[in-house]
Amino acid sequence: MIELIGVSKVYGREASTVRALDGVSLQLNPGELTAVMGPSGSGKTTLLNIIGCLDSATSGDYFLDGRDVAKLDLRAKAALRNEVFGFVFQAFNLLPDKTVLDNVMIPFRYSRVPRRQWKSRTLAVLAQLGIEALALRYPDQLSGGQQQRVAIARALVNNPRVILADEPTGNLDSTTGREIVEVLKALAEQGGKVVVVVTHDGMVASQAHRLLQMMDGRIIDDSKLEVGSVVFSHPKA
Amino acid sequence: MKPLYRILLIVGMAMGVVATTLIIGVGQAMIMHMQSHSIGDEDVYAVYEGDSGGWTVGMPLDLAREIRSWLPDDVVAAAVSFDQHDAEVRIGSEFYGARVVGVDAEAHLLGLEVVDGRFFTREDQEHRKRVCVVTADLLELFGREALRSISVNSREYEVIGAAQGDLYLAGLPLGIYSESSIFFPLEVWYEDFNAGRFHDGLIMQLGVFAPGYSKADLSRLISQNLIHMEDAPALKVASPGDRDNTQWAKDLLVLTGIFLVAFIVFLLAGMNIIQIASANVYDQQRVFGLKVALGALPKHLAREVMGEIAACALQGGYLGIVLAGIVNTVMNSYVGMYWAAFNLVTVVSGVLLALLVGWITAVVPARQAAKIDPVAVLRPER
Repeated sequence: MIELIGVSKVYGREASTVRALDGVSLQLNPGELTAVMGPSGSGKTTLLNIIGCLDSATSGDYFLDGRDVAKLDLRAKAALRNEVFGFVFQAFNLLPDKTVLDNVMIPFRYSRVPRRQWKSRTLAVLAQLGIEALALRYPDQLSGGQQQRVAIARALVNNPRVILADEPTGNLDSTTGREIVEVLKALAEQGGKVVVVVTHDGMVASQAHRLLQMMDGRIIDDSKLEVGSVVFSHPKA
Repeated sequence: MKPLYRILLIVGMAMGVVATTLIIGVGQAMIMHMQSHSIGDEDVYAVYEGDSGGWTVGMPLDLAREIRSWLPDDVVAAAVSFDQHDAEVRIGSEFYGARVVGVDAEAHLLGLEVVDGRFFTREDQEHRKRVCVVTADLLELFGREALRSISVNSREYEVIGAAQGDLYLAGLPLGIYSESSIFFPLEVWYEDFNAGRFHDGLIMQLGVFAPGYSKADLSRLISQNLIHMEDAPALKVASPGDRDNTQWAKDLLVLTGIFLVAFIVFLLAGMNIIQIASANVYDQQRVFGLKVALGALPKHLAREVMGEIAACALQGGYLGIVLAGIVNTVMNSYVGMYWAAFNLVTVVSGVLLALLVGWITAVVPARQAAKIDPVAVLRPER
């Protein structure tokens, strides 16, 4: 459903350009958890942003369900971000002055979902992730793992087909990180979603079905992982 | 929006509303003040005894009569007494704080217009008839039926008419008349309220209607006669245009000062709102970036920012009206008779203007919010 062909992203102008992505081609399939690894500055987050329509490619083609994303206008891209993609961030990015329920409902504000369905759909997603009891709590009353589950609930609330997670375990201890990866893996395997996880963590990558290794804006390795594969972590800096 | 920004915005808006109501209120007062300087009937004058230690000295009735005798036949003059402060006025069953003033029958030619019944005549005055004339406002307040007669110090007086107008325009050095004055024949007033002591200096002024005469003409006429008097009083002739220019200028200066201060506060409040709202947007860049990632369009962000500022504007508006009322009351008690108008028009236009300013000042931060690059602001902090 997602196909990138020779996608490049160049920042800056003339002499001071930085090639963040350099002719990346790949296909992402439903039911697959794909881990993207690579040193800092290798283009992992840029790739995620371009897939998620947060950023645009400088050159190359990006097809989503056969549609050329480059030809979509601002409104259509915003609708894709709202309905097709779900984002999970390292820093959770929960609004501290809003309850879990309100945080998870945010995507509905920009969707066509009738208001009367907001609460029931939100509670259903919270129940799916086992955090419905936290609905009325505020983010600062939650542990890191709980906060990331809330962030995943927010990413899932509009039932997107693609989950894009940028270092989702980066702020968590290893046990909690493993739980979060299991949640993401279940979304791919049981929910049939495309799940892309950017990570430095070998433990996270080893849970994936597929591993993309990046370096200097290029994919240097694209391999299927067997159960029990060992992947070494990349240093963050 | 963080509570601190919300509070600062509400305070900023409140300042804006206070400033705008002041600008509009003081602006109205300034216009009225300037108009008051130009109004004047040049044919009407007041002759009064000069100041003594800051107070206008009253003249005896016989002096007023003598001055009147010095004036040409085509000039109308009427003595006007001070106000009888301790008179107990009862209208129907109600005691009312009306001003009780004695005037000559000709007083109605000095700026009063009879709107009901008649003014008392020279004959009424000479026959000491217990009649009186009320102001049109009193008539409107109590109605004709209740005002068939009134009781003053337990004496009944027939109300024979009602008049309206502004005797102050006749050049009275002291503006003792109000909407609730009651005019009595001068002799009746002396007998009933001053135990008939006609020599007491209770005449505040001699109002003079002298068409075709200038103030200089009147002054000359009076001076010529004063020369022949022993212990001649220091009489003055005033016209409505003679109001104390120094005081007038001082009041205008005070009003202009308040206007300018209010205008500066208004500008500062506007800039303050822009700054705070921009700081709020800057502070919430990640939040806005997140919202873009979740499907928000720039117009959604702009609308949210403007909505937040509008909500603060409304709350600030309420607070501002209350503060404006307090500031206005305090200011008026210091500024004196030249009050700043604080009425529904002032309040409504003040709040509308503040909302307009809030809306305009919200545009800048709203545009900033709409321009946020989610990739840049969501980049993990390393």
